[in-house]
Amino acid sequence: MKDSLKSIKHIEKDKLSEFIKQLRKDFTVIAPRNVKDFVLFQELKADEEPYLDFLNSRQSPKEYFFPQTENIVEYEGVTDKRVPIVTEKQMRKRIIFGMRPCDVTSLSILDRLFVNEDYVDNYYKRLRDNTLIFGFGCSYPRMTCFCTSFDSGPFSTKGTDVFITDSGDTFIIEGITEQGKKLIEKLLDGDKKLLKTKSEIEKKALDSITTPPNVEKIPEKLKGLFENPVWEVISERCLGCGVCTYLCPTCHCFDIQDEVIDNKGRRVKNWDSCMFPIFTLHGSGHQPREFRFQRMRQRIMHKFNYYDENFDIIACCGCGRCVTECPVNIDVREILRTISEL
Amino acid sequence: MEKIEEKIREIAGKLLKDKKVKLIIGFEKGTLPLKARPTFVRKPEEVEKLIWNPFCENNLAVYIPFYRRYLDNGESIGVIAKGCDVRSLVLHIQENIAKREQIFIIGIPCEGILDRKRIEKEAFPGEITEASEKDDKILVKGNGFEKTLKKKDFLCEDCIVCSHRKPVVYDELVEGDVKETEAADRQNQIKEFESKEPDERWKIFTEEVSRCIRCYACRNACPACYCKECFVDCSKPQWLGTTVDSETDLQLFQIIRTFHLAGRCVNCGSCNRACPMDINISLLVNKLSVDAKRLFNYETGIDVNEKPVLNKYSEDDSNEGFFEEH
Repeated sequence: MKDSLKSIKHIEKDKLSEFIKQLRKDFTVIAPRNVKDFVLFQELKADEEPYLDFLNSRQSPKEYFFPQTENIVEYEGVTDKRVPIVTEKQMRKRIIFGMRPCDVTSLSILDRLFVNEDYVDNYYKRLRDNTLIFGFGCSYPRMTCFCTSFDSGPFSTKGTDVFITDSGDTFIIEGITEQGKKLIEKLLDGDKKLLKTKSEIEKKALDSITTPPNVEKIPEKLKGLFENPVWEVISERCLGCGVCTYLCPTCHCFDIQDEVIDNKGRRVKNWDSCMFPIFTLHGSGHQPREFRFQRMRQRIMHKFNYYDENFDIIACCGCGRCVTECPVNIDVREILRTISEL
Repeated sequence: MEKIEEKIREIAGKLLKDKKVKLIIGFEKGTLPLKARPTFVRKPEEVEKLIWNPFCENNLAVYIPFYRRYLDNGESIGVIAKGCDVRSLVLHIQENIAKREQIFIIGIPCEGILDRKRIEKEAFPGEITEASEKDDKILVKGNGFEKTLKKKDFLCEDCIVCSHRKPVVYDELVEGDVKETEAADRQNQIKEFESKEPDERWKIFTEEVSRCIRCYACRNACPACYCKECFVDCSKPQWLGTTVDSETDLQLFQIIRTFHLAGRCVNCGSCNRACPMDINISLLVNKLSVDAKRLFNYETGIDVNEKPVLNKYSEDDSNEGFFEEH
């Protein structure tokens, strides 16, 4: 608390564009933009202000660390004489501005998979190391939000470099990491009153998350449920599309493809979804997860059991995107409650 | 509405009790405002959860191909079907997914489905936390706001021009006084788009599909998309790349899918409602439906004994689009 007291600043809302302008000198700024009356994180255009009057973005900013399509290697030449094309591009430092705490939490979940003792995914790490996170407190959690089920909350500063709170006419801006503190140095100082305002806003937000499912015992519970008939019930309305997995900030499965056009080729990494019928399809033609219930089971098991066993954390951050966007209203909160009650 | 629901439950309960069907597919209350969701009833005592309201947005025929195991065993399935669902069921019967006698159609006269996305945008950037509908109005509430909307302003585009609100085929019809509307001409839906220059049309189309994230919700929500292996999933040979940075692949996915739906789409709008990126998916296929009507006087899913339009040939067929011999 002491540290954050020291680095608490504030900025009036009408001065925000000037602040962003300053940031843009050294950074590429990726921020919420109003696309078509829904919000996506995209690179801001010159002189554009971020669209901060939003609940959360339709898609999570995961794609800036784990892009949906990413070249692993490009090459030219024919079959036996392939030469890699090496283009050592200098990456500009980036800021993700206005990221909600649930999405920040999702990065700490993904970090454990992509950057760990046994294995480091250099593609992910490069993007991660080059990016500063400006978290943005959630004054109005959505009715589908359940971040408090996990080690997070609407004003959790964990994992951020700078944390922003909307307090009406001004933004309260806290430097969390050294790098973050340095960046906001030039802003006006804040006073203790602001922190009090923040805690009031935070309390209101917390109170509005009324029924977060209790996930504490879910990983253990799932251990004995692989053969349980409940999966067929839960999955019966599932259409087998990829909305839940592609909007999810923690889903991270990918597929590697080779694309060759004339004498140029690339090996490319694409998002994949366990809900698709060709996911885990063997070369022999055998599909071990032939039915929808098996795929649904995989998704829930992976998030709430396997990932917890492997990385000691549940692969869900409670953002609620899968709940709001599922075309047939499959609600993961309901699934978790069903599982708890078994 | 209550009357319709009562009737649905009565019919469904009797069907299950008499063991006429193995399963009834209908709607139940969703977990979010503005949402009803598909539900599956196998026991007579479960029929109480069946509901009907203008938020019943999914085309339930989409589930029929999932139950091939029932159909192969000679069992029957009951479907609570609005006008467009019925037409998709007819398509399934025409295409030999099911036999007519295996689908028990509980027909619902439909006044049009409400466009959840457009209603939600009324609250943007906030959200709707409560919604109810009565007569010709929708009441929505959210954090610090309350609005009464007129239903007729928020009907799905596809429903505005729908010409088959009353089920065309059914085993039991739930009575209702739904009238086909004057606007019921799909030509109206595409008029504006069609009148634009080709370049402009291409621009609109490519801008729309540039948002595609390839989740395939449009395909999976579509009752006519039941191929065992979709062309986008085929790897031997691979017809289409799988990236999202290739504009061509995104465009081709929609274009090829549109052609696969020629004369098969019932314009239910499920694809648009399922798309998480709010893409106007049905933009192109609506034109094909208009063409099928204009060139062959054909509408999809009207008569179970009729062949799909692209499966039949007549010497009088229009030759429009064919090159003339000189």
